[in-house]
Amino acid sequence: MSDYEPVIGLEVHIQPNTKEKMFCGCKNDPFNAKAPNIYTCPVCLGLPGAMPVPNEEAIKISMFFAKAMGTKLQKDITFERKNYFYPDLPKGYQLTSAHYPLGVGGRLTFPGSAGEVIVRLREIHLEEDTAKSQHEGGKTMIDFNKSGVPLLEIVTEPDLHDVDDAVKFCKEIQLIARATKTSEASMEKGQMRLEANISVRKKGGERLPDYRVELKNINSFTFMKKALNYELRRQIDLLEKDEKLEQETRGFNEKTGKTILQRTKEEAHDYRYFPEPDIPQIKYSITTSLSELPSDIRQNLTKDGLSREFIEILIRNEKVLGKYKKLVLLKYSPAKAAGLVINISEYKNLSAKEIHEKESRKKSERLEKEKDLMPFIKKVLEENQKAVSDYKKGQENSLQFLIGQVMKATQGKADAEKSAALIKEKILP
Amino acid sequence: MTIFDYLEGLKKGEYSVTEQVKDRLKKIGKLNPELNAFITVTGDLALAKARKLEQELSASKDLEALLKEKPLFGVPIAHKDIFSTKGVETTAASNILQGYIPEYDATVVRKLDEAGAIMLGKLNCDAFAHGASGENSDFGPAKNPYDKKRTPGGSSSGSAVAVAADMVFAATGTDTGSSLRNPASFTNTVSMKNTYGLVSRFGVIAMSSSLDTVGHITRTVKENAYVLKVVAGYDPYDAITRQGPSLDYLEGIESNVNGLKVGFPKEYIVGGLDPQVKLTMHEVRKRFKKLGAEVMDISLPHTEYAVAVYYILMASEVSSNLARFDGIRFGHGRSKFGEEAQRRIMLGTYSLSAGFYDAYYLKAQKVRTLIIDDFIKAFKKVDVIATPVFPDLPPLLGKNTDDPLKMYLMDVLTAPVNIAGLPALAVPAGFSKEGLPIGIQLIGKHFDEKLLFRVGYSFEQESKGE
Amino acid sequence: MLTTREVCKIAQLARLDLSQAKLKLYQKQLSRVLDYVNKLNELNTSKVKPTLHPTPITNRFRGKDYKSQTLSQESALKNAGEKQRGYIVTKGVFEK
Repeated sequence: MSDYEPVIGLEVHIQPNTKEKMFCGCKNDPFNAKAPNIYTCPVCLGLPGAMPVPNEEAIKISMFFAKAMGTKLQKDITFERKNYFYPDLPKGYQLTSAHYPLGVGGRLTFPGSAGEVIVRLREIHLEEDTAKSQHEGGKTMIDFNKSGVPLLEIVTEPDLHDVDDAVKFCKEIQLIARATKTSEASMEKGQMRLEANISVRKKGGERLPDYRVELKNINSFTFMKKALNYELRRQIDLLEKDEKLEQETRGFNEKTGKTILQRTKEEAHDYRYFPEPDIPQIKYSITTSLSELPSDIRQNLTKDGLSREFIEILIRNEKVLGKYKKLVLLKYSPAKAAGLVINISEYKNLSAKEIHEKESRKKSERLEKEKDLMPFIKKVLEENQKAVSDYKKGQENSLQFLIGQVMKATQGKADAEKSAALIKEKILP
Repeated sequence: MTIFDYLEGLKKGEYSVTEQVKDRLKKIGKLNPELNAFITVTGDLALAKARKLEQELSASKDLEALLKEKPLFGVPIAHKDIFSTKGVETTAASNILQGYIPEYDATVVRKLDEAGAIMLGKLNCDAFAHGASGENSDFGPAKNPYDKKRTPGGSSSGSAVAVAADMVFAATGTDTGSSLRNPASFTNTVSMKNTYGLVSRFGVIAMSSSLDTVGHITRTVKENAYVLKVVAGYDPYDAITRQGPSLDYLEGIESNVNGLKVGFPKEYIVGGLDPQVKLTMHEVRKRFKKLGAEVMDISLPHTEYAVAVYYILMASEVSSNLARFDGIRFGHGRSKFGEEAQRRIMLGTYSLSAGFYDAYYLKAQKVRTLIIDDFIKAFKKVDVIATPVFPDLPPLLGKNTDDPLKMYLMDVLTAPVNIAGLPALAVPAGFSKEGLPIGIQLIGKHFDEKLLFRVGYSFEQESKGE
Repeated sequence: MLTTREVCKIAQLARLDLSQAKLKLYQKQLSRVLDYVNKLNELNTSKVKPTLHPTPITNRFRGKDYKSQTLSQESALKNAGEKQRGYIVTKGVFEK
């Protein structure tokens, strides 16, 4: 098993949170709809005679997102028809700008399992979503509330070689989607969907395998991990038996935990793409600057000297990050500021200003002067002879213990740093 | 009686709207069994609207004022059965849509309704507008009132018949390769295949999205211009229509055409033209000279490739536009498609498929550019181009039905105009010895409908003078 | 000349369930049409750009004048062959 490594490329779908659908004025809120088929119109129902008119908000949001992801924005967008038959595809074709993407190239860097991982992006494009179909006893029940909702597709190069990294990558995209207010990107709400292409090669290899298996229908991070690991094992097994692996599409069965063949290369769709005549070409550019991205935040917080644990917490919580920044501006050291906003439960619902007030009051009550502290320190050292001798022997946590005792004795008012210095002075000649 | 005569009579109180509607419904009842122009007659709806309009008129007592908001006040019209009409069955003349009742109106239907027009029913056509003779209808072909053994043209066959037989004043239709001009030419009526994007297609069952245009048939040029003002212009629901107000196409329509340059493309006077059609074109040239126009020969060198380009592009778009007919949200299963629809779906699917896309679809799009360039060059020399609409006299029903290619070649003189998206006005040019109508088309630059109406009106008046 | 295999493949791609007789008829008719349209090969178009967009306008988006045409659930389902609990229903096996 360890002789091989996976070669994984991802196709991530995100539903941008526009007010309306991509090509009609129906509400874009399929997840919260109280009943099926209440947000439909002739356009998204694919009725005869209906015509698409694009949503400008979708283009704008998508371009901001593509820029934030680090791709190079393209100016010309053309929507094409991708023709195939399926009950959840009312027009018998899907409108997509796959061949005229919004953003091309670029790379995304994020913390992986074993250090920084860089994944090259192929392209990001905009398309429309299909309806929702569920199978019940030999019948297919279709709800068109989701039909025509805008969908962003992010396609990566096969640069991932670790299943956990693939999951981390998707979570990073989620962060960026939220930071840029593009989408909540919740997998449970169907706002984010994953497809993976996975093949296997000998570890250390550089060439891409001549096949890849497309994994569809992955709607949670847990299932993604399971599906990829299952595929990894399945493919390695076949390779070890000297069997040839072919290009195919497989679906993940949540109940059995296995992937099953859906389509071979020969049965692959012929989508007969051609430009949608009813939608004039789009030549669009955006100008304004972006919200802070996770990677930028990470960089800045690393410069501040924060631990990785603290950084990942601050990145995921805009409010807490804001409080941290304010405290740093109020001249708290980064480490202290982070500790205050993250660790102190009584501060969780307070604003930065309120935290500062409380800290200031504590500070004014704080015992910092040697003459105030010494009585307590002397008593603590007397009562904890073992800790003293342990510290003399070199055990650092004994010092922490003694400081803790001083804090206890002064009801938290002792200044920790000053206490530590005085204790050290007293113990070590 | 023209629309203007009708409105005059209303104003003078010579008759009521209800009387007129009743008369016409009676006429339809009498003539339709044989002519087969109507698939659905909406008598009750029409009478209800007539009564409503009458109440308005008796309340306001000022038709002139009402006409400002409703220029087609009480005017009986009808719609080709590919126009979505809310609450009224819309079949596209195909079994696959039998029983389909749209939940929304096409923009043009709504505009005409808001303008006061009264819909008398839905008109027969080639199923899904696939055809140039009306013989591809699943409900039997419409018959030419001038000779009931002959086709009235297509695909807007019922539209031409309803107007020619004086059942309605105006009938909507569409033109993708010939479907408004061909029927007008066969029935001594007038139609304007307008510029691609001038009139909203929203709600009209799509045939070929880059070629379809929406228009109407009337008996005279002025009436056609008058109705166009109501339907033309920007529609938020059709992304191809343009910003800006609808023009008054009657403005300046009576101005003369002195010094106007009229071009006659030599490629259109081909060997295969019926001698009477050829003769008519000869007469047409003389008439233009008489009107003071400057007549000259021009060339549109890629004309002979237009049918091939048209059929590849049109079939490709048809194959995609008919994919929504899966019997799930509306209509019946795909086995209910007629033969011509199936043929075009097959042809289009093939032209777009992997391995053939370059040789067919892409190639056709390239030759399309060449055809467009032909017209751009020609319009540097002339203002208007005059050609016959059809190489033959109106054919006998059943003549070409087992040879699809022969049927397709009937579009040879009209398809180039659709490929270039240009406007073309079909006007009557005379009759054959047998009394069969022969029409011509006047082709103009993009959005030059006003000029075409002016030229057409002069030509029409001159023809009447004979 | 279209082969039988090609005609069957096209019919499948287009979801048309055709009888043997129809397949044979269309094979003949379409081959004739395709022979005709092959005349486009007489033209050298290597330097010609395809007209992929039928209109020169660009950037047409929905504006304030686009009133949404959202239908009631009843309207949306009105013409459906089979419906149940607000869903549109279809039988049959489909593979995506």
